[in-house]
Amino acid sequence: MLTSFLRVMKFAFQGFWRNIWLSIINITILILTLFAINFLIGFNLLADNAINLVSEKVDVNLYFKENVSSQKIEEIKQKISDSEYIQDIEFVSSEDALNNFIDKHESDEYILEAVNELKEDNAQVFLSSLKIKAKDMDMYDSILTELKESQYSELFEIDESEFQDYTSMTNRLSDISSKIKLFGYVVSIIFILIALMMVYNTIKIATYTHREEIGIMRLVGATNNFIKSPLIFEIVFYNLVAVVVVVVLFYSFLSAMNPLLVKLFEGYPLNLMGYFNTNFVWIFGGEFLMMSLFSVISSSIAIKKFLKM
Amino acid sequence: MIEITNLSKFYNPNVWALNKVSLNIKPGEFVSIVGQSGTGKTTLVKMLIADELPTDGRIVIGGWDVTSIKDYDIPYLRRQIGVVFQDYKLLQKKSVYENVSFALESCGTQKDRIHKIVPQILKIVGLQGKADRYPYQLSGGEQQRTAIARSLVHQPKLLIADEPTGNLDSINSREIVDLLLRINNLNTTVILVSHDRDIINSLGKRVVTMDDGKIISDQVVGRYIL
Repeated sequence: MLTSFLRVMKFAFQGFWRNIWLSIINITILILTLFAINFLIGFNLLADNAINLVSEKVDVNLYFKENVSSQKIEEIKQKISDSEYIQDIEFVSSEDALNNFIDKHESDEYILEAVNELKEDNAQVFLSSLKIKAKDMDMYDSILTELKESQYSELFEIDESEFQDYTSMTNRLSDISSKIKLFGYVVSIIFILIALMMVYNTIKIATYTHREEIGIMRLVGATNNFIKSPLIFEIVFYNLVAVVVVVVLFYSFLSAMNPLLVKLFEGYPLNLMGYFNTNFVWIFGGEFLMMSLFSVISSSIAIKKFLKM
Repeated sequence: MIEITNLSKFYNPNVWALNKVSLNIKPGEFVSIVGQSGTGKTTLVKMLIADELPTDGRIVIGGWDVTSIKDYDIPYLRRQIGVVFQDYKLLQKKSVYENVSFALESCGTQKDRIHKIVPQILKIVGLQGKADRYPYQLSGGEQQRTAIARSLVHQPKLLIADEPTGNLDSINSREIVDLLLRINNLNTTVILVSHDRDIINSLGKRVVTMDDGKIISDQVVGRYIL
């Protein structure tokens, strides 16, 4: 068993080196395929994070009229909290809103002066409000409908301008991301198909090149598995080399991109390289296994056809 | 040893390679199968090694029904049957030793056993001094002896030689036939497929004559009658 295995490996390596140019072409196609797939994985992660980043900033604010008491606002808050679409409601009193505003503009003396003047006139500068966050971006429309139809709708005004701005931004992001993802899928599928065709043809060429040896092997009683295995292992070597090269190339690419990404997602905990490190075995191991599986199936068909097995 | 019963190979109802061929060969026999080109001799050889399936009929070799053999059993059948052809089928980039050992390597034989068997076989075929030569450095007869050596590595009970002297001059042909006779004397059944009249007539062995896919003559001590 071990002798046969070692011999299969020896024949596979011989095939690999004897057709080195064909091997290089095949490996290049596999590298392009795997790089496109990994790029797509990275891009998906970036797109999802960008959408999440924007989504997190979205909220709807209810501004209560001056005459609405704090108790009434609390009652309304309790009532709205029952909605299945709402993740969080925060009450912001007029005083808190004013303090927040002052904190935010503490260096702008003109604004502070204007605020002080209003305070001296006992005018209510800011209204009390409820800041509402939905469980999901898609749920804001339902929340707005519920609020507009609510029995308390006379007591507040809805400020949905932020929601509209961010919705339009996330829609644009989703749209661009979907288009790039579609492009990525198409490119990956094209590369996968090219890789499969290359593998299929490589096996056919290898089978043709080795036809005399294969004929003699059959004649002297070598088993079909022994005849097929070196050709299949040759393809598995291609995949192994391609995955190793892709790991090196892709990590170099990530290192080069990382400063740009950190700047782009400033303040947001995005670590693309960390993601690939954590899922290294799943991503690259999975790619190696999948490509090998495709290759084995494709090469088995090519050999079967040629050898009439 | 070999029982062939009503063996037929039809490509369509009017075109056949073999038509109801029946033949029994005893263990240790030396049988020559003769006939003009296209009379079905090579088709019969292919069926004996399960390289082609008959349309009808049965072949049993040493209790093994070759006509209904499972795919995974074919390699094990072929290890029981040595085959040599007119074109030698040697690997040009391998030496005599490597060509012979390749047959054992392909079947998973251990290295030390290969080192033991190959020199013995090369001695039997008279190539012990030419183990390192490549096929292009050998005469036709020596190349055919290499092919015979390769066919003997599994110590087969049956050796089939399909036109082994077809590419050889009379002297080399005689050497090859003498080698086949020696192998037969070691109790290996030999089937010689040939249309070399002189060789067949000189053997004084059983001769089966084929014509148009049928056996037209089967003589215990035969001559080339066509």
